[in-house]
Parts: sequence; structure tokens; C-alpha cells
Amino acid sequence: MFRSHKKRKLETWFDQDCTSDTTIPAAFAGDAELESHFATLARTRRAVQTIAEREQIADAQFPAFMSGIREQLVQKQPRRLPGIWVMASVAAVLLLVTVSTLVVVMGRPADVRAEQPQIESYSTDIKGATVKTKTDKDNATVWVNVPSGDLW
Amino acid sequence: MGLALETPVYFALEISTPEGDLPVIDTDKPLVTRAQAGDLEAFEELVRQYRNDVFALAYHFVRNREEAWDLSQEVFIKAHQALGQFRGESSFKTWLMRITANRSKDYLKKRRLDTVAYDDALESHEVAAGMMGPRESLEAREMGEVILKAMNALPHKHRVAFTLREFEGLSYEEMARVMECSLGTVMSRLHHARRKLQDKLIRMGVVMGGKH
Repeated sequence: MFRSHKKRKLETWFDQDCTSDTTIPAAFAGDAELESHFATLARTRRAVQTIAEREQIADAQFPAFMSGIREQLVQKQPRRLPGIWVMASVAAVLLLVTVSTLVVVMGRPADVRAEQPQIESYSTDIKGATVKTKTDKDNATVWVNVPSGDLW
Repeated sequence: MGLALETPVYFALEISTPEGDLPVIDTDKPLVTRAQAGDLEAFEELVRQYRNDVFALAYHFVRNREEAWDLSQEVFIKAHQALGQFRGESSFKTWLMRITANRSKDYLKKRRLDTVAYDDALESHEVAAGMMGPRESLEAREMGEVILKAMNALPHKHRVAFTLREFEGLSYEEMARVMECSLGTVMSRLHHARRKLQDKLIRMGVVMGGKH
């Protein structure tokens, strides 16, 4: 555990304060294991530096890169109804609400009524019969008076 | 202040910011604010500025330009979606790198990138080493290629730590902000990554060493 602690301290120095990877500080010098560890750290870093080519997106490639991002951003945007459809939907809802309100407020519609009946003509084949008519608001009445004794 | 002193007293005023709490670079702030308000041109400018930071880090994980391209685009798309959550507690670059490190893990899982089983790489390389001699020093580049293969077998968090330090050259503080952990955790993960890599290099005879 102590060894591990010393190695960690060495690594911290190596990462933060080491300006040259060829000289181990005096605090760690003389310890073969630590010196070996330091040598490995330095060699590893040199090896990484030889293959750590920093890949880049060139300026000429940037438009294509950004285009791909824009496409995805547009696709991922929440769907929004065009304004006209929103207005139409709102108008339809308002219409329904208005009609419903009117029906409720104004009550049932008036009953359908026929025009006042009118007797245009009348006739009878019964000899001696008389016909009377009476028309009021909703009804038309016809009386046929037949002479007595003439009923079959 | 009515303080009379017979001897001069010198005060050392130390200003320090809390760990991981550096402010956004001033030049970014207006762009970030506009981007958060929905200005796509401002966001595009941020992409232009930091595309290579994201791309380079992404490449370190996937080791393929096309994959890194896709991953980088995913990072910026995620960043755009999460712009409202960015509060400027870290720099925008650090925030992007954090997203890159997190997304890379998911990306690698999703793509099911073959991580070279280190033992396989070990065997194939042992053959070559046997021909060359284990004590013969490998060219630094060859050693670097071996390290890359060995990194594939590291746990993701250790791989991230090693990549940020050795490939990107980030300081411990910057690493802590990217990985959203303490300095102690940064050092611990880096230590474990190095230990595992070193163990494997020792087994290959690439480096000399003993037990940890």
C-alpha cells in the first residue's frame, strides 16, 4: 500500500511538474522500483506522443459537418402546426362552443307548425245537405247537415 | 480600520476558485447566451470553434474518422438539446468534452465496436516479440500501437482518464471537470489505468517491471 502511495505521488509529479522526463526527483531517486516506474511512465508518454496525431475537421469539411448537424436538429424539432391550421382548429372549436351555448341558452327550438289551414272549397252529393265550415288558429271544421230521415 | 500594529504584518492573500468552478471564457458567453435563446448561427459558431476538440477526443475513443465524425455530430446535437442546462459553471469546451466522453461510452456500446481482447493482441504480439526478441526495444510507434490496443480493454472510466491526460494533455483540474469527479478520483483512475497498461506491457516484455 505504501508502495502504491509512493507511485501515485510520483505519477502526480510526473503529470504536473515534470518538465523533463529524463530526471527523477531526489525524493524518488534511489528507489529502484520507483525509478523503473518513472522510466515506464516516460516511455509510455513518448510512445503515445508518436501516435497521438490530432485528427481534425478541416475548414473545407466544416460545411458538410454542420449540415449533418442541422439536418438532425430540424428532424428532432417538435412538430409545429402551420399557423393556418392552428387558426382553423381554434375557429372550429369556437364555432362548436358558440352553437352549443346558444342551444343551451335559447332552449329547444320552436315546434314546426303548418300554416293556418284554409278550406278552399267543399261540396257534397247528399241532396238537401248543407255544409258549414269553421276555421280557427289550428283547425278547420266542416259540418254537413243532412235532412232528417235521409241517413242510410 | 482602526488597527494599530507595532510591527508590520504581511498578509498573503490567496484567491482560489472551488474545484471545477472556473467561469466560462468571456468570448464564449455571448455566443452561448444567443445559442440558448435559439440562435442557430451562434450555435454554429460554437461548433466551428470547438469541432476539433470534440473530434480529436472522439477519435481517440473510436479510432476511425468516419465513426469519430458521426460521434462528434451526435455530441453537438446532444449539446444543442441540452443548452438550457448549461449554466456556465465550467467552460463550454469542458462541457463539450464531458458530453463527448459520456456519449463515447454509449456509442461504443451501441456500435458494438470490437475491443481487441488484450490476450489476443498479447499472443499475436508475443510471436512478433519472440522473433525480434523481447528485450529489443520496440520502436516508440509500435509501442504506441500496442498501447492503443491495450486501451481498448480498459474499463471506460480508466480509458477516459488516460486519454484525457496522455492524448489531450488536460490538467487534473480539467479532467475533474470533464469527468465530473474529484481530483482524488482523477488520480485514482489514472493510476489504475497506468497500472493495468503497465502490467500488460510487462507481460509482453515490452517494459521491465515487477509487482505493484
